[in-house]
Amino acid sequence: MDRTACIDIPALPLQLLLRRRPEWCGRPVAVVAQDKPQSPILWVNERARSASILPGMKYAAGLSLDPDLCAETVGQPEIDTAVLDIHRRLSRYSPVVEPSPDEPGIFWLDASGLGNLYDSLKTWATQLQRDLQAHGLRAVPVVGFSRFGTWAVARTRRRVTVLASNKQERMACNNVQLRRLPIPARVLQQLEHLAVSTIGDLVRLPATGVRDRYGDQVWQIYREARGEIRRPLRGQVLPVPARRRQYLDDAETNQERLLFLIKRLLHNIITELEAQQELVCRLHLVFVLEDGQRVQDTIQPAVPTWCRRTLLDLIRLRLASIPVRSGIVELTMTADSEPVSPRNRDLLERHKQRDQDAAQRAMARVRAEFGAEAVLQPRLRPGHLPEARVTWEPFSELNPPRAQVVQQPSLVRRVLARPQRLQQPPLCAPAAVDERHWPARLGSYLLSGGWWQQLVRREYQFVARSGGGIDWLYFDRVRRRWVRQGRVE
Amino acid sequence: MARPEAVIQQQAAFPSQARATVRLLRAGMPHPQRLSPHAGVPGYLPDAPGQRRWDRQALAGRLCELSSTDGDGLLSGATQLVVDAQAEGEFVAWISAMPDTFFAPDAVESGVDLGALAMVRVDGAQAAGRVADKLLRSGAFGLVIVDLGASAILPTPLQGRLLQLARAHDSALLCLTRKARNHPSLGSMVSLRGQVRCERLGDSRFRVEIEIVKDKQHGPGWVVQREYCGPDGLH
Repeated sequence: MDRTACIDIPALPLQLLLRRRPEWCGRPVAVVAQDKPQSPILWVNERARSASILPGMKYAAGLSLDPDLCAETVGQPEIDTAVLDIHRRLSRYSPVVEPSPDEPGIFWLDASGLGNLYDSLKTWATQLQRDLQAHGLRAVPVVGFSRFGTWAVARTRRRVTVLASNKQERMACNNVQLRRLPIPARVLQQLEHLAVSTIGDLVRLPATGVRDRYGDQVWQIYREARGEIRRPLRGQVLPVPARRRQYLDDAETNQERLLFLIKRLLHNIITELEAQQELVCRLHLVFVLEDGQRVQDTIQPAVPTWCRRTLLDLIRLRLASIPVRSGIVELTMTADSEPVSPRNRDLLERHKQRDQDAAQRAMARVRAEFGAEAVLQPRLRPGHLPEARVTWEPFSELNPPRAQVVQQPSLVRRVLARPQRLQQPPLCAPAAVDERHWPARLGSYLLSGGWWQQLVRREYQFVARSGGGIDWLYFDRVRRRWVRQGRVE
Repeated sequence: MARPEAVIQQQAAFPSQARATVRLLRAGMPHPQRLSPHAGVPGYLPDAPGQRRWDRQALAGRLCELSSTDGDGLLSGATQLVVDAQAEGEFVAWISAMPDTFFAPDAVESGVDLGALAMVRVDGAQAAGRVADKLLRSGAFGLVIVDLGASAILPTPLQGRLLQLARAHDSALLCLTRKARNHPSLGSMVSLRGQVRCERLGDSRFRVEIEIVKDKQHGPGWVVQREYCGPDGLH
């Protein structure tokens, strides 16, 4: 039988703050969004709550209620690191661990098949709770059968709970107060007016209107409580640090030879990280010496990088200062990495910096061989007709690129250098151009102008070809003929 | 039966099931991959580990070909590669072996920086190949696109030189051709070939799909998709 466990680490940011500041135990403590007097309070402990300091208040207001209030920020990187650390610990208790993407501090574990490892599920959950407690975190494990059921019950318990059957889980879940769930206060008030205060009361409501009246959040809870949505556990794979180890037959004392070995390990690690699109943030080096001594050190580049030269230089500088009394017999290199983002992409090593002058010289050679009319640069002009919107000027200079990545790019048309006159109207075209019902037509627009010089009146149409593709045509009303301007490619 | 989105996410997590993914695509189900993803840019999906990418870095050092039966999707797919290369800070050259070429305002709408795009227009595939040779040899261009059209032939020795130059300078060389999926590629030196097509999803919504029919590094069968809007007037 599949068993699911939910581990609730309540108010994780607050617990992290108290772990960082043990001297604040016994005092009113709050987590604030920013280090400013007008910053809103995000989390409070019981001591602060008893002084009527509540989340949502400004820090200055809380301070006026209790001058002893202690507050600090807890940044997202710290929370992410803590979640990763907790995930690593919980991985020792179950192969499938899924952290909640919405609420840091909520983890679901697969508790099936643990009968051969632990006396009972209660023993398993208690050991898990003690492990987290030993690292300064208070957790509430609830073992049940469903993701929603265990999550809801965990919000009301303070001790390890093992639900024996589906029925027991359902009953416990139905008794959970709605104010324990992340439901907006306004919606809670509305539900309380209808005497709906528990999950059991909520599921008894008719489905019609729940979403419209109370919003998507309540609708989601409603459906999950009724068992209409059952999401399977999706364990997250922990990132494994890139590591290489080299054992040496003879103790090595020569720094140059050592660097050569390190270079090889570094190359392998960076190749692995490049394939994963991750950059090196830190390198941990561990040398085991002939006399058993272990020397550890960490190299950190200025920015996360793939640049082997940069990292090797840093290692060379550090090696010169590490006291090595006897030869090295074992060398381990571990890399801390982070995913590549456009901000931290290192262009220097990934592809060497392109030489703009070399590009100009290459274009000059092409011009010399093929003529000036072959080497061009497009320039946009204000105009309406397609031929008036672009000029092709002789190439002069190549500028450093400044491309913009757009959310939804446009299809690109191919424009015929010489628009092609159609001998007959396009297939499926109606007899009259004004005909509205034209199934193959995908759009149209009218261009008209030049009346002061030479009247131009074109009715552009995008027409789907029978064999596939979209033609870009226009009907020249002045000359009364169809012309293919190009294609949409 | 699992919801299609859930099935596709599971499929996408295991590259060895690429064929099953293609079956899903042919059945008309959406695929989570996108052309040229950039982290943090709305509209892009981040790569899951193991997913193949169609961007300049994935094509660097290789001779690649992008084909289309009627040409639909060809310029749009290539333009995104130009945007991707320019976003990396690379210079891009576009060599056209025919007088017809892309409509520049549409390229600008897609994010191309025309001031950083070198354009060469010559007559014929062989001339285009010689231009590509010169530009790649400089080492200054991170992406060179050669628009060859239909029935294009590049001599094998020329292809070999171009491949060596692309490798030496970590440049991507992409040839655009107009041919059916079952027609052979330009030559054995082509390391990656994609067959592109475009389909209309709805009002001013189009999907360009590139199916990789030849990939010497990772094996064929993977697909990349991207949603586009139509140019002004196209619904």
